[in-house]
Amino acid sequence: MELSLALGDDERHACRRAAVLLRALGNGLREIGTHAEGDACAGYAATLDAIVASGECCSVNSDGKVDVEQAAFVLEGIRDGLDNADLDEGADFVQRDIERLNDLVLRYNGLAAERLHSK
Amino acid sequence: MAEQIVLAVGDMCGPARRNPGAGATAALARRLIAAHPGALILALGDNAYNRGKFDEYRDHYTPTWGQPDLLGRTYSCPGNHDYRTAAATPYFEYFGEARSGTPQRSYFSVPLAEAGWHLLSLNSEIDQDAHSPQLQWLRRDLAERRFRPIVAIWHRPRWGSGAHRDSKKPRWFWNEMYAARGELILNGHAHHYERFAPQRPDQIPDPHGPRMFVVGTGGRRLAGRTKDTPNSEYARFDKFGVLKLTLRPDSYRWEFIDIDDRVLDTGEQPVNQRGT
Repeated sequence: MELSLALGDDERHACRRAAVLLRALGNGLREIGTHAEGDACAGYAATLDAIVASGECCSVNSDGKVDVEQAAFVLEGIRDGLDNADLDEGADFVQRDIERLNDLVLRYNGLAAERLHSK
Repeated sequence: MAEQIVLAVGDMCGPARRNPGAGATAALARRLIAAHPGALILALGDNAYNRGKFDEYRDHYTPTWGQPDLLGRTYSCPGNHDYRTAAATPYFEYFGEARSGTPQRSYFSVPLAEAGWHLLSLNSEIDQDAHSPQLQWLRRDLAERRFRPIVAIWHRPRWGSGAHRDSKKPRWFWNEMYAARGELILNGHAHHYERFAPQRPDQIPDPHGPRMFVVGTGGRRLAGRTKDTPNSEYARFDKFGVLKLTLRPDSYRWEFIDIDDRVLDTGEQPVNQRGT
């Protein structure tokens, strides 16, 4: 289901930062030989890049929404790792971005239900 | 004494490699129901991985938790994986409107008449902010049932010491539950068991606040501790199991039982006093 979502500044910045981290992680994973996981992370980054590029209103389909959620899950691992290494500020930054990505996911879910209702 | 036995758990079924515990937790539920034929089941979301598709419910949920003796007594709330299929439509169709709501109206309440409690099933996977239809409905529902003890279920926990950690969104549900002096909040999402002390929405301990449980131990691979959380009183990250609640008009008792029938955590508390 393709939906149009309004995107706030903080959400757009969160998507941009998340894409940077995921692309770097994807490149690293490919370099160490885990190509499938590297490609998956690169795919999530590409989805986030497309959302950022679309400006204040983005078009997201069901697969794109899952990509955003998967990106948030990967960021949770990065956050936990930073936290374990006592790199607190980085962990806090990533946590804020996770929350913004989750906001997008929940908004998509609600709109999808509304769209279904209006059919 | 009038009482209602409730078995609560989330994050159960899927391919065996990633969901190795689903068969064992369903068997545990069946043993508990043999001892308590009137027991209800509360499925706390992400019941069928990975996208909550109809064939995932058919292939993974139906052979275990979806057998008629269990499914016929199950109320549910949707999880984030259920929403990986548009509007979680297969999830709602599988459980039916009376047990799960509908894609358009995905929250509901039912009386647990035997024990005089009130069950709320909320949806943490859609908008739940102050002006959302869901929160406005919740306020009305709680106002109408203000003399009954309340147990609320939704998928995504406000706090947790395992995977996923905290989530700010459910603070709206928490505010309403606290204002209504609700007793119990049951969540899944994180794949471990955790019990919190009664607390306020700002994490100040309060004996009259809701007590929250995370019970994501239904079968999905378990995950370890990632942090310490205020007011967390007990947590297990290594056991599949089910939370058994005994709801009575004046108290509730909890037991977290693992798949080897061992009670790992138990306790009892009076319900909040309410005006008449």
